[in-house]
Amino acid sequence: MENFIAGTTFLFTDPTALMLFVAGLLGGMLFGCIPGINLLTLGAVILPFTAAMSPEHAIMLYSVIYCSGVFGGAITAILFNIPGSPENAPTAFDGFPMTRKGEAGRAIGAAVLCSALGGMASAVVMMMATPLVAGWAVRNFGPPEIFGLICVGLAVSASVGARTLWAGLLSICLGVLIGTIGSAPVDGTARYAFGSYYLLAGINFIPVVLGLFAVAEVFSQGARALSGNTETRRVEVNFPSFAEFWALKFAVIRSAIIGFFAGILPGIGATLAAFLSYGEAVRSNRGRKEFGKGEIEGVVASETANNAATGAAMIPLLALGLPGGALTAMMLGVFQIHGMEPGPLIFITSSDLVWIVFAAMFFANVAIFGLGYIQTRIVVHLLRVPFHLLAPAILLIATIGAYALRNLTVDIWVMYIAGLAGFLLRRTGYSVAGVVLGLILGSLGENSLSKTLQLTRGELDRWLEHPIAIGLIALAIVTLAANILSEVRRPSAKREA
Amino acid sequence: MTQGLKSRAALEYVAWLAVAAFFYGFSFSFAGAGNDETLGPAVWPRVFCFVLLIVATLHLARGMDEEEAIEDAGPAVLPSLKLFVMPILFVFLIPRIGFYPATLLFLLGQLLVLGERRPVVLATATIGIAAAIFLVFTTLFFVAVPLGTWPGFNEMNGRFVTLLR
Repeated sequence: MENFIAGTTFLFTDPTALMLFVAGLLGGMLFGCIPGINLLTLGAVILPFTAAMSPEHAIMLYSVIYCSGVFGGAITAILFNIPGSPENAPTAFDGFPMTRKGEAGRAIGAAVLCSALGGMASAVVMMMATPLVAGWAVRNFGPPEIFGLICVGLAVSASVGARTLWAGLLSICLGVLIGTIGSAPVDGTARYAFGSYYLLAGINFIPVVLGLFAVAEVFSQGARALSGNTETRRVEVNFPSFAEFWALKFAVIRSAIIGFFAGILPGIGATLAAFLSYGEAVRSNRGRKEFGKGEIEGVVASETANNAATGAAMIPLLALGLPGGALTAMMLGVFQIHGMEPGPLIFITSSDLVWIVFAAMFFANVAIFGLGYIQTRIVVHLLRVPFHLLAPAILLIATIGAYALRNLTVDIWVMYIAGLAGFLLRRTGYSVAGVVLGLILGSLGENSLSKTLQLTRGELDRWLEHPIAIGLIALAIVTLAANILSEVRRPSAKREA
Repeated sequence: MTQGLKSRAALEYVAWLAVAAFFYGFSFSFAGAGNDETLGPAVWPRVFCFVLLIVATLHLARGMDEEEAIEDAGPAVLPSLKLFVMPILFVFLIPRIGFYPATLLFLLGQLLVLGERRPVVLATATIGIAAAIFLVFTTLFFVAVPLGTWPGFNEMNGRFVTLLR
């Protein structure tokens, strides 16, 4: 506790630290909510300048950007179906349908509350259990377990947002197959590249997400406007009531746990945490709630988990020197710039730095409560702008977002092709969320399976040494079988008649 | 209605078959090969091609069994395709005439496509949105956008960037 107080005192008494804290908070929220120009862009831009800062200031700044940036992307995901960052993509699945129902305020309110709660819970656990938890997770979760986790994710996501289970599975297969374009994970063999250097690097996730969500949404609404079927959105800033929020307490706890454990695992990070948590919310409420059509629990699951993952991602970084994602990898770079080596010894050699980071992350999540509320009250009024004026601006922002990623025009083409595909898929009852899930989980799944085969030397009985992996794969099979059974038993319109 | 739905289900099936055939067929052109201890580059896509084929068949069977229109089918697809004309033109023009003039043309064109006809609104919206975007992304975030390759445009856009910064 006294370490935490010392970290807090440093944060609020050192003017430079306080200024960087506020700048990181606002910068993260701003960059987080602009597609393409996300928190990673901000992290990359400021990396060279950290050489002039003290290590405490530099690492603290990155940790604050991480917390606020992950939250910031939820705003545009909910209001315009444009996830600011990949970790906010599942937030759009239910957040945007809520906006269409005139419940944008409720959705953003839930996002603010859950991001802050998830982040704070994660920060507290991070402070209490960093060495212990990191050791357990890293020892017990290798490629076979990650493969099992991904199998569960794929099995669960089949029922998200599609007209039928078959349509959901087809959407996932499409995503997985798109994910195979590029270099094979084991030997780098070119797949479906046709001699193109662009395709050899694989289809980038960001333009596809922007296309499937933002562009497809603009075209869908544009098509309605052209047919004279205009939709007037009600603009309300009603945050969820305490009673409503209390009813979701188990969802918050479950999502925080999923987010936390996903965040600890190197290479998994906040994006998969959000997808897995959303999938688990769908699985545990099957038949009772309609996810993908404006269910607040969908927003709660995604936003709690992605922010819970931020604190957790610091555990392997600080305790073992293993970055869990791109931003934590940048933090590792900051450590190296200052001639430091994160690992178990850092708690002894740089205890001050560690506790300043812990305190900063905790207070960044507290600040999301207040700043998120103010931001919501301002940003939600954008919905009052008529669609035909807003649509070109959204397309323009998405275009820059896709281009700014790698300064390649071909990324803009990919985005618009994905937009057209998303437009057609949605009209025919397929799930764009399924395509995105397939794209992300498919690549990770193939990668972890490849590593597992190398680890087990292709011997099936060596899988028995990984009971967690077997349990997760069994859970995936049972989930899929239950889904299929339920689909087969579902009476068709004809039989019902 | 029923016949139309069945035709659509059949059309969707053909589209999925084409996707599976594409990915399966081209998987034979991969140079690398796996063994028992590694996952060959073709294994993962082929497995999912088979899964796709099976699920598409089940989906077709279900589609042939349906008699009810899908809810919220929305407006017809063909008239909606004109929404894509300006974005395609925009992406084509960006590397040629540069981002800035292409943006102005895109905004004006897309507003017209979406039904805005009032000259004052067209002018103010085009200039206002473009100015906001240019200011945020060029002046504040220093995003490097294409300046064009057609004669004259690169120089003109370069001067504009200097002016903005």
